[in-house]
Amino acid sequence: MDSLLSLLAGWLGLLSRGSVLLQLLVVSVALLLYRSALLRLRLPRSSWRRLALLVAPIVALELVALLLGRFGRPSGLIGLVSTLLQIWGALTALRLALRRVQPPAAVEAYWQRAVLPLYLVLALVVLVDRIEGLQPVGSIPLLRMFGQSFTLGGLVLLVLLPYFLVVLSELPVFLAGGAMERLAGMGAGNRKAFELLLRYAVIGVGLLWLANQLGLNSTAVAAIAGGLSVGLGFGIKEVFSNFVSGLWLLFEGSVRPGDVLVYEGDPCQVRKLGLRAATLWRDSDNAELLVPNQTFFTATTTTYSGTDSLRCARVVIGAAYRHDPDDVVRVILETVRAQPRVLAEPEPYAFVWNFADSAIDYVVFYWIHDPMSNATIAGEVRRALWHAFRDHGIEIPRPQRVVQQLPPPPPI
Amino acid sequence: MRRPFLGLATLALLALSLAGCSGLGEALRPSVNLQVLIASGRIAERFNRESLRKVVESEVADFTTANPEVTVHVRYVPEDDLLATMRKRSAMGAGPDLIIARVPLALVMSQERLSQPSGLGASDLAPLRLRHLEEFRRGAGYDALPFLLQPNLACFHRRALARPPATLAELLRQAEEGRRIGLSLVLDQVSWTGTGFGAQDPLLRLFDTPPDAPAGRSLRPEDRPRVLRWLRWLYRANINPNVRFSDTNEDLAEQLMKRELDWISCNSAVIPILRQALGRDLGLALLPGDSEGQPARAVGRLQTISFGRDSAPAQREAAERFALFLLNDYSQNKVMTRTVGNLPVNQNVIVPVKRSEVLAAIQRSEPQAIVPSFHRAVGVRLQRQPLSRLIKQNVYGEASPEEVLLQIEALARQRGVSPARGTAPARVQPTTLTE
Repeated sequence: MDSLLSLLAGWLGLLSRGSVLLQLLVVSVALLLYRSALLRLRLPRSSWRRLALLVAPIVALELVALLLGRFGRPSGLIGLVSTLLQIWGALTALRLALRRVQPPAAVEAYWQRAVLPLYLVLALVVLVDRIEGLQPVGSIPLLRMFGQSFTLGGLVLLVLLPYFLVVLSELPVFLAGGAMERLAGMGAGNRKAFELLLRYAVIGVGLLWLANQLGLNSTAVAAIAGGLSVGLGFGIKEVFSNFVSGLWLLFEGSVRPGDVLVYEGDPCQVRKLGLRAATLWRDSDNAELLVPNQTFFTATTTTYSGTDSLRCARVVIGAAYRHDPDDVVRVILETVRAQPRVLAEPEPYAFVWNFADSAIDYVVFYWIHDPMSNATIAGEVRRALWHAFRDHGIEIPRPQRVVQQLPPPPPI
Repeated sequence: MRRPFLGLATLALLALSLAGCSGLGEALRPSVNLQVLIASGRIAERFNRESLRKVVESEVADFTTANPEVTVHVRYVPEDDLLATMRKRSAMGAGPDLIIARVPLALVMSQERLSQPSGLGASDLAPLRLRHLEEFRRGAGYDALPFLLQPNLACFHRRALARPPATLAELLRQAEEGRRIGLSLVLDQVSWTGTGFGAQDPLLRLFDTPPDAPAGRSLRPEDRPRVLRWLRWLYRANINPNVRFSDTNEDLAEQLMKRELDWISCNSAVIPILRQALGRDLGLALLPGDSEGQPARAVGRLQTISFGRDSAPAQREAAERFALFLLNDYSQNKVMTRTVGNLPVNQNVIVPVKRSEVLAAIQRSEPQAIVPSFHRAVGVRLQRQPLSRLIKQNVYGEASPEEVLLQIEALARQRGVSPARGTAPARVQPTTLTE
């Protein structure tokens, strides 16, 4: 810790130099003028005009740096700030351009979560590298744990790397998934599974690299693993079980993001297979259900997207006894085949289902492409059948009951 | 405008709160922060780095005790990174106040104006009677100040070698008898073997001649056979299975410590670590010379003190005080006795040769050392990488000695950093190379 404080004190010592103070003054004035101009013009945060205004401090800083260079005075700090502003401008331009082709909310979210923190970290790293060099600063010892000395660089990596691994892996993994989808003809579900596994792999390798960089010794790792195993046995058994179940399901491919499966009687789409739980979307009420991964691992799961995504649906309809069943079946098949969302192949088929009390029940089986649309397609089929029966004079009887009065009993 | 001011106020508050921390408070109390940058050996030379670190840490502790108003911040960089670090920091006005580095790097810093001539004049330094000082003179000041001398010598196992070889022929004979000999593949560390063939001086002259000198950079006709004989000797030496060549002196030292080698050429900076490993078994001797018994002359190392160009007046004044402290009788004596392997440049300090065998051995090798200055033995060290590559090709038979000789001359003709400007072309004579 003393070394770190000594380093900071050494940097403060630079403030006694006229050349450093002059550069700091120039940079501060340029940035303050830029900031006050922004406040006065009240430009929106995401606008090209705001970006254009950034040119002013950059030009001013470059000119002053040139002037100082002419007089043989150091101007590296000014040049560095100017370069950082230029990079900021380029990133902002990219962000504004992306907002035109991608959902602005998604662009802003990625900007806030990934680009902005990364820019700040890189700016700090470059500044430290210029002033002191990364290697000597990074190797400053801070504390000792498990008989291991942790350096400033190691600690910074320990804090920042996991965050950036999680945040920054999102976009490259998404792009890799898109590439695999095009190159290998992956389905949406497979693509999402691939992306998730790739992300886990990237994060896992990154964490291993981090452990290696920190120089964690095997004894410390064994001690942590021992503690974890006890913890797993008691407190976090369920969490770990769900995590392993999630990984297993992904490897097995039985439940993948994008799959449609029946949960509590309703078809639901798997939106996300997380570390602990899967997120299902239920179409009927637009609800998102968080189902622990373990559920799919231990219980029977009905899926409509295992080997293919076709669903065989059926509608039952009754017709009066007086109609010829052959005619009714023909009308039903003609009607169902005419439905746009009913697949022609496999062919629909219909037959007499039951001689019920009031009517002869017919059932028609047909195939649809999107299992999640079963309810609405079935509604369309029923409506079409009603119209077809009306056009063909086929009665859909209401429940009928013949009440027959028995003759009065003979007198005793 | 409120938010920027808020930001500045937060920064000021942060600085004040940092100042409130006990450690930083202590560090901030003195009025002068002195930044010292030390090129502590090449990346592979960890023994040298440790040796220099010990020296500097001890000196800084003493200096700050005597000068509590000065806080010394010491930073170490590998030699390979020194110039890049200096360029980056100086561009921002954040260069160090004082730099300790070997001569070739100090020369480049001086030529690129990354360092400034010392403000200490002859009258300030006269009482210290510094060796080699005049070789760094520029006008009334000095481009750099000599600090420590680390000559090369022979390190060996007493138990394996009762008597160290005195000539190159004896060295090979001992190898044939089964003694394991280690030699460096780095040119400036193996060039001493050329002494016996008369090849060393022509090579030094070749690389120290300014590129625009009338004679150009090529060997004289009478020197070419000497260099060829030396290159052939190196090739023949490697054929002997008991002679091992190594890329770094560190490798050689490690093999000696593990008792995998019996005799190596070494720099005095590695003596402390060798003594720690071998104890009384460590023997030190002069490097073997020619058949007439003249000892070999090796290019030694001279650590120098340079001054930064960005210092505030108070920092510059503190840097000069620290430099004088490093060079005074007390410090130089302490450096010599506490970290064995360094010879003082202060001639007031008497090397206790009767009390210490090690110091006596180092002292004996010092007159044979070719001490690089801004005017000599710099070119060879600046070109050490390509030259070492050529030596490797020669030693491993990938190129014939004749081809290597031509390539050495071609390398010398490439424009590189020449000795300090404003000086006459170096006339490297044997007499000027020895002290």
